[in-house]
Amino acid sequence: MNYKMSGALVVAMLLTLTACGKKETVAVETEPAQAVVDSNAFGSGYSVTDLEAMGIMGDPVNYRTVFFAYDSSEIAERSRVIIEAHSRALGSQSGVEVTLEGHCDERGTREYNLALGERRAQGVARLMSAAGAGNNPTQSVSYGEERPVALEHNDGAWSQNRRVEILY
Amino acid sequence: MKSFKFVSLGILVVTSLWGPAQAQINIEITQGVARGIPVAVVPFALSGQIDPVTGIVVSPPHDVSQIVNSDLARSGEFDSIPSDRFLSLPSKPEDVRFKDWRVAKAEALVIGEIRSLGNDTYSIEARGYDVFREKMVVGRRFDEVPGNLLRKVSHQIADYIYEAMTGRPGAFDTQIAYVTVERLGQGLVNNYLRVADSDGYGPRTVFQSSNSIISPSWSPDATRLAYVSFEANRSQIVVQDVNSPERNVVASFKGINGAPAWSPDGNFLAYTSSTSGNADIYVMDMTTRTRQQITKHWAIDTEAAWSPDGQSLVFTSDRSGNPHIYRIDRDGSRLERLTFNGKYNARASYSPNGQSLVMISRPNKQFHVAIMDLATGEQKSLTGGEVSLVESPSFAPNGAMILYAAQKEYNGILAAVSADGRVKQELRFQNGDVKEPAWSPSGPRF
Repeated sequence: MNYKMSGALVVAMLLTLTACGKKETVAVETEPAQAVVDSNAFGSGYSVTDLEAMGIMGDPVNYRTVFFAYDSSEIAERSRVIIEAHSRALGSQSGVEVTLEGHCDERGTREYNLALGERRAQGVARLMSAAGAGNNPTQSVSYGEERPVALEHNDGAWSQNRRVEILY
Repeated sequence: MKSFKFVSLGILVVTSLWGPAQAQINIEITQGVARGIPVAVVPFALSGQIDPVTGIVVSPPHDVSQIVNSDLARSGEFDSIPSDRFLSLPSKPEDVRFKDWRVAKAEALVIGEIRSLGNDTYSIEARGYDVFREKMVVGRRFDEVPGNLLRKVSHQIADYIYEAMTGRPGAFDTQIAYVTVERLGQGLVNNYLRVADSDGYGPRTVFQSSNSIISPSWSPDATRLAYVSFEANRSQIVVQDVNSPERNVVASFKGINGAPAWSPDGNFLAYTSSTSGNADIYVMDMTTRTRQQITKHWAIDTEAAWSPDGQSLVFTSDRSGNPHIYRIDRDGSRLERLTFNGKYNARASYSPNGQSLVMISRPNKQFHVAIMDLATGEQKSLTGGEVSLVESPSFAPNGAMILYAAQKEYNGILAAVSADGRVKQELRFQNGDVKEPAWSPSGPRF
């Protein structure tokens, strides 16, 4: 029993040694500063690599538009990161007014899209408030499909037009 | 007659206040019935006041028989017989020889007389005959018609002939409202809410804005339009007199204000509001401005339309997860889901007889104008691949045609399709995107 235990310990120690050895090798080959990965870049709760994988280059607070799937007001992970970044920024600027503009693509009826745009804006407003922007007067406005940013009639244009713009 | 003169004055005022009339709209039949009713419209005989300068009879500013002829032909339900096949040119009942018209293969014959009374006023007599039965089916006399109402009277004559020959009322003496978008570059646009005669004649601007104008809805007396304007950088509902610049914002509540729909008696306006937190259907009393909430649900409820008897409303709701059509009583009771096919059914409105609904449906990748029989629940697409992104279908007041907006070759166009899908028309505008059409109810007759 004792023998078996110490055997397991030896294996564990060996594994640790191997791991340390690998880490040191990597550290030698790259910048020493990167040895510690910042898993909370810009306070986002994500590493820079993870942010970049979402298409967010640099501080998420520099992005003011979040996008949606067709006929959906569900907030995607990328959008949540951006919205929370604005909430943190606004948390220290209590009283700054925020306008959330909801927009849709041109498919479907104009009036349904007017309501859908509002639902998108309200979803963003709720998350912003929960994430720390509760002291900022927030207004949700819907323009439905009336103010597209891309005028073509294709998937690329439509995905750009299904959006909420965070304005303050 | 008196009320009529008032209307004509209104139109004159609008023309002068709101600048020159826009270029005429061309309506082309892109698909007609295999064989319409062959009709011969004989040019109306002209008599009366002689012009002292030219020495001939003062001619009216509009060609009445020509307007009647094009109305009937444009409906797709008549085949107009060219005048070179006419063996005689009668203008009085005693001159009609039915044999001549059987030879010309006419089933319907229209004849008439115009008498110039001076001072740009005219009297008109028009008659319609069923050639096979050798019987007069229409006989109408219009006295003291001012020149600027000749087109209206001509459309009415076409309405009478249409009804006598098809058994359904005509809808030629009506108007269409629509929105034209002019792109100025650098993202700037001009939006024009316009009204034109049903044959596309005399478009005039009733409101202009750099922001979107959507969802025009006619009052049942065809004198006012309710619409959604974004002029205040948010949605508001405006009611505007069609014949004057007078306009009032009637709904500018917190959230969205959309989808106005006049009740059949003209006393109420159904609309969408999100004052309670999300989009629900409300009804506003247009006299007292009191409001009543009809639907109360966390889902989107919008696009209300009244049943012809004013007792219930249909509307779009995504409470099932996707937009579908529901019906509810005027008092908010007896909710019923009406559509179950596909994942997108929206913006329904009733046919004038209340037996069917027209709506936007998406049975597959494409959006279609679809008609649904309320008795059977059966849905049928009326449009196909010839157009895309169809929107805003509305019935003509006689229920024969459905007017809608679509995209074709990267332009917003207006098109019409008959309720049975057999006749298709395109309304050609000179430039700009066109959207949001609404067919007016039949107004007062001369």
